[in-house]
Amino acid sequence: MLALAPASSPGGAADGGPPLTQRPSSLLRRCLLAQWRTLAAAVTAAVVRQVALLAIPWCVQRAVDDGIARSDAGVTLSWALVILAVAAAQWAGLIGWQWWANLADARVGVSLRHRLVRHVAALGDDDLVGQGGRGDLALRVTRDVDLVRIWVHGLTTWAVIATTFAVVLPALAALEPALLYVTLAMLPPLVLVNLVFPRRFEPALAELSDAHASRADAVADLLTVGGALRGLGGADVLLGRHHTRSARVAEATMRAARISATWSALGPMIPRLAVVAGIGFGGLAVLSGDLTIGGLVAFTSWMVTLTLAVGVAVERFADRGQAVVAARRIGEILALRPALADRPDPVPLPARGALTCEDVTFTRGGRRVLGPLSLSVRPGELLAVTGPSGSGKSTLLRLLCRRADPSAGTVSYGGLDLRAADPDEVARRLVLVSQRPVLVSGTVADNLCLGRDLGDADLRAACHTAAIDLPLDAEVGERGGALSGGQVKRLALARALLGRPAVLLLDDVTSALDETTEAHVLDRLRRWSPETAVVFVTHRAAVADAADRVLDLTGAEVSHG
Amino acid sequence: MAETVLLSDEPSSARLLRRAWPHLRPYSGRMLVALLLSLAESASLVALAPLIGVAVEALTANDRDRLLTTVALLAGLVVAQALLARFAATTLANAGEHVARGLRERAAERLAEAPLRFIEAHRDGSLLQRATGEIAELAMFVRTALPNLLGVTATLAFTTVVLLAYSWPLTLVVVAVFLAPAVLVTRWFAKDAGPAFGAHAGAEATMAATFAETLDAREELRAAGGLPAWMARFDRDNLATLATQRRTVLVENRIGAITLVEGAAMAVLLVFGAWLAVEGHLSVGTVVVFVLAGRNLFEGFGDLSQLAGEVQTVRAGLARLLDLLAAGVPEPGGDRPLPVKGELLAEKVTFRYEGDAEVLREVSVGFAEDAHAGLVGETGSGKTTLSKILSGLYRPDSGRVTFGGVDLSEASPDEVRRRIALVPQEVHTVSGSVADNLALAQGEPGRADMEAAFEALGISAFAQGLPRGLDTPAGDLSAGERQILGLVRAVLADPAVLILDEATADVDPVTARSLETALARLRESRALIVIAHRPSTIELLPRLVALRAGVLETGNEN
Repeated sequence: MLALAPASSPGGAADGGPPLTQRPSSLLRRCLLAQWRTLAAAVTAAVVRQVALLAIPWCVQRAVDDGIARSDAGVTLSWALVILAVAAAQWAGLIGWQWWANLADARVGVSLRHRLVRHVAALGDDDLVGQGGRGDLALRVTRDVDLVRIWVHGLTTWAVIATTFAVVLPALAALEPALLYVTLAMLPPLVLVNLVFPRRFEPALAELSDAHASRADAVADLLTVGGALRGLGGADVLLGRHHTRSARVAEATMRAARISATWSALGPMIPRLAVVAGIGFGGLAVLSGDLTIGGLVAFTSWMVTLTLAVGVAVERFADRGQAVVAARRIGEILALRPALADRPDPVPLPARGALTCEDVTFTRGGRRVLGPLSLSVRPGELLAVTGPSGSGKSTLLRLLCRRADPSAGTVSYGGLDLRAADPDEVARRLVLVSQRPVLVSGTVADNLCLGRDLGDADLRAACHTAAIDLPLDAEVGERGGALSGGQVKRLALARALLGRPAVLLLDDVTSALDETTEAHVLDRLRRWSPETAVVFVTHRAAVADAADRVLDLTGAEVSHG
Repeated sequence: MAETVLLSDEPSSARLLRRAWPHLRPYSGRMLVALLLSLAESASLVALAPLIGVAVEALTANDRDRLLTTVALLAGLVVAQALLARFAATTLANAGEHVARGLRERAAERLAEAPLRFIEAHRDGSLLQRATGEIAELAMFVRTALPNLLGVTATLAFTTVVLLAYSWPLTLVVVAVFLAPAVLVTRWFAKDAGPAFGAHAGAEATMAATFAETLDAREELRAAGGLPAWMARFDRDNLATLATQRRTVLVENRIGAITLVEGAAMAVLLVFGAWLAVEGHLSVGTVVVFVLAGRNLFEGFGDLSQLAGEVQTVRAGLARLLDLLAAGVPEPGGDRPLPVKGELLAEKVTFRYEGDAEVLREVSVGFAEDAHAGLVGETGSGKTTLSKILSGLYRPDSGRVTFGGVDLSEASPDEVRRRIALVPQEVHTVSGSVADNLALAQGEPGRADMEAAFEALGISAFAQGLPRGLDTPAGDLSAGERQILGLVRAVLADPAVLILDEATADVDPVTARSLETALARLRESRALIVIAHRPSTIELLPRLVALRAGVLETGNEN
């Protein structure tokens, strides 16, 4: 299970050294490089579309000046046909633009999620402490990835904006210099607006992102804890917490909305004032015969397009703000390194050997949870571990299969320190069945195989050994919700048996069983793989009776041979 | 049997607004003000083209003063429009956020009250996605796209009115050439948009659910060597989002045909305008107004159709949210009061899970108001199911459960929770301290209450032994320690009937025994029903009720 502790709690992050935080912009840049061909295709199509779009006002100008103003219907008609052809080119460009831009953004999303899921899968439980709860992590793979995608998608519109300026400015110069000066005069205030607002907008969005994440955690709490609390009326308290966080979302939303409203009102106002000034100066030029009415019409049409382009640019700046926040949140996860780092040159585990721990202690948050403790288990031996709640039984099992490293002392198998071995090999050969095993949605068989290629006969044999009587094709429900607690544990036991591990670490897996069934399980377990060393944490007398040795963790400091 | 209503992956978006109306109604006043501001903003935007037309007329009339006056008016109008746009957007965002907040909170309440079987029947990734990511998306739409949508719609309407006033024949021709094909194109788009966008949202939700499962199961996957195969499953779900998105683009590109229609309309406008001008029915200034405002019209329609894509996404999201609000509806409860104490009685209770054989068959059993009884039976015999039925969390398919003679399904759910509490084996904790977690009981108990509860259970030493006392992060506790928290919560809730389902299985036997005796002693005449396997727990109990394969065995008394 993921630790649901708040960011302030002392956690494993400190053990892994300072995280190598990647700058959000470099994450974004790499997303783009991977998709440059598709993006280039999208940009080309977008430019075709925009040139066609900008050509239309010019065609209209010719139609007005050469056709309508001179009362010549024939010329007007030929220009009208040209307009129709240009419109067709515009549609073709639009189709290509949308297709490739969508492809690029979807592929960026797929590849980011591809990296995120593999990265998260490689992390241990302690590595994620302080990174928010499950709901927040889920948001990073949905909402934050989507924000990056929106930004990628929007990038192609920069080509559109650039084309607009590249076409319109020379065209204006050709029409009447005064119009060009008016247009150039509007650019500095526009740039200023686009510089000032992102700085104010970004922190507001970061806060909004945070508020959504903390509310998502409250919903995740409601889902995982709410069911169990119903019997106690605690769901209302959880709801109260949710509503407080929801109110924070509302405040953050309004703060961001106010900034973006001012921004998007000022953005288009500046070019519109330029249009008005252009009509003033251009109008005077018409009166003195330097400009035609058609030219003035083309100017206003182009300024409408320019206004749109500026509006879109404003939006794209906002997208970038959101994408940077999102990339930072994604980068935080990708920067996490497993506290139990891989060795560059792992040593293979010996084929057979004793599992030994020497002077092992484990402290968490300044509290000694376990040890100092030394023990050794030989192949084929069954060691029962007992002791009161909080005496460190579950911690011991986690150390024995290297889900965590001891604060002091060593754990070794066949004389090899587990820290020198390949973590994947340790995970496969030293297998823990925890107190709360996790099932995935799917059938019993899916959960037994977990991706391995195993025959039904093997699965049935393992089920029999673990005393589980469920059809292989029965659905287990979300996180095993359709099964009882005992069934989940025994299913996890059967799953562990299928790998024929060298060491099996069982955390109270029979606590939900009646005594008769439990005795069968113990008996069959030892026959299933006689060479497997079993460490069995238990409160039950029957297990302790069947064990070769019993280790009692009662008392602060324990040392058994 | 009672059917559990399931969420639909692609719920219908028919009559969406009507179904969403109850959530909008409380804010209709705010929305009206926002709407009026938006309309005023659009009106000022539309008025720009006619004013430019006036300027052009001044030019043809060679009237310099009229040109300059018009230019000054235009400048004033542009500034007024910007101010209106600013306030329209914030007012609208404010109204929209109120609605979004209401929906968020309804969704959370639904998750808190929905029948337990509904929650258990769903991959929690999909519930989480609907209640978080999709609501956040909705709020974002309201904040960013909705102001545009309103502005564009109003601009279109006003522009049409203005054009009609200039020249109705030209307006009719433009509308006929532009509007009819544009509407056809939009229909062509809308025909397949719903399913395409719905399928995309569904694929994203499946991918999110698989990601959530990866988080939970990664240690297990590593131990089984199953990570590569699991990653292949995630990749499949991940790639499905790409395939469904391609389909949405294909559908969305149909809307681009509007640009062609636009070009055709402009061509017709020019030719027809030229003909009218030649005939002397129209001034050049009016043709200019049409060219300018016509572009407004076309571009407005283009924006509208682009926004249509976003609207489709949001409609699919909203439909999925309303589906959650409708599907997770709590079972109808009554309002009959429950007595302070009384006998808890199950009468001929039968229960089965979807598609399975009966888990319980005609079980009748009673527990007096001061009963101390054990519920025993082999694993899978239906004990946990019976405990959920006895505590009112599940409704039996047939038969009934009464407390003090009142059927639980006729009593108010709050009352049932107050009288009967179930402590399950697995105690989940929320982020925060031990005290934050203990506060999750009726009436939000304070520190003093918590300390008193530890005292009453005889485990004050436990609380003091935690590294930071009640401020210890709950995530640091072991399973046994979490179970102790569960029991302390039960003491704080102080119910008339307390059902413990393996609630001390992870606690060491000595502590467990003292906890159980303390619980029994704490409240005189409290009924205590214990499900346990541990012989030391069972032998304490004066009466045992045994279940075998869902059927009650004759009770044997200890």
